[in-house]
Amino acid sequence: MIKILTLLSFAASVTSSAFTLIITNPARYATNNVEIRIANNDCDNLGLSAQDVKDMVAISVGQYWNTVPSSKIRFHSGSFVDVAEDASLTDMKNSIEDNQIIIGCSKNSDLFDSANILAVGTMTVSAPARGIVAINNTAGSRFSSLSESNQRATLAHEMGHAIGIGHSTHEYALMYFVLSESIKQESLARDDSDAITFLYPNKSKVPFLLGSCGQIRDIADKDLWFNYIFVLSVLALFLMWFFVAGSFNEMQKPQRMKL
Amino acid sequence: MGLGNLVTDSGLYQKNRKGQKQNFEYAPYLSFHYRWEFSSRFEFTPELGFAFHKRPSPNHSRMTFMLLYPVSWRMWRRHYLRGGLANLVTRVAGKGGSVFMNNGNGVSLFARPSGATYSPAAAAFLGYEYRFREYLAVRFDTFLVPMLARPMRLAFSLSTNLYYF
Repeated sequence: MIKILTLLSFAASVTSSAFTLIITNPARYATNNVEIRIANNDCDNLGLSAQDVKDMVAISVGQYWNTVPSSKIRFHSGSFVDVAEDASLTDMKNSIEDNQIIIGCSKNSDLFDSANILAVGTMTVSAPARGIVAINNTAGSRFSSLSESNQRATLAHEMGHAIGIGHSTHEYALMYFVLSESIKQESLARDDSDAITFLYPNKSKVPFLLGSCGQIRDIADKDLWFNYIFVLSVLALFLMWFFVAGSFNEMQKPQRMKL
Repeated sequence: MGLGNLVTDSGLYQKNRKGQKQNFEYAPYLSFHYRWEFSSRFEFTPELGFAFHKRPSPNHSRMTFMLLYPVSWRMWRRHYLRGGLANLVTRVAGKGGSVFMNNGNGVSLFARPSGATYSPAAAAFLGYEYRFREYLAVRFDTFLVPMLARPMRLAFSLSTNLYYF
């Protein structure tokens, strides 16, 4: 009877929760532009090179976590770092600097005691923040049987843990606790967006009422300049209307004759 | 004051198992504004608005505050073109606590969000307003949020406004 009640209470608590955090107050990355270092070892059991992992990470962050306008944090795929092919999470953590994330394959049998574990993601409990994502590269790992899109989704899910986000009960959220082939995970769900916004909101550099212009990513970014010119053009057009039409309006007013 | 609907983050987030994205959401929008007519064709109508999103879960909530600084130009008769700058502030809040959840091969304890965070963003917007009467209007605004940055999101609002003086 106690077991049944425990199971019922567990089910009730699960269905009533949405996004969660790995701990109540996880460490935050002190920079808005977090570098993701890639372990410089090939994932031989998965048929992936280190460069393949790097490319996958670059696509993954662009598809998922870098798409939230209400969050200040952005990720970019950085340089390679040397780690042993059976590195533990601690080894991987020690190979990077503060405010970085490392992603790479590992054959560590303590970490991956089952081929069904696809990957593991976590972060340091207290500041300064460091994130670790280890992909299961042991023999028979199920990661290799995933489609390319599900591999990217898996990496993005573990990156979610590496920035402090826990699991979600929304079945089409990226942070849902089961990877299902029947769910096409094309982008973040609103629940994931709420989670990253909660942990890393935009910060205003000027008083609250003026708000923030978001993240200016790269001065060489053509799209950024396009946006800049577009917004200025709209404002310039509006000001032109304001003055030209205003003058026209003044001319239309009936003039009183002075006697 | 005005009543309407505000759609934020149009086309950004997944809404179902098929991977389709959410283009529209029902979020009642309540606004308060004041109208200054500084010529027969131009007005300045600062506005404070609140959008009440559907509660995502019993444990956390989301809300959007808006501050608009629009200048309206009377194009022709009852047709007005509006535009200007705005601030959108997203509020995500949680009640705290913890929950046991599935974690790979077992079950782990996860923390629920506690407290509230506010995420401001500046926006540029352009809109159209039709005035049925001097005190009654319907309008449609389109926002680009945030300005000068990527990813930009599209937001739009449709509302009926009542003006009292």
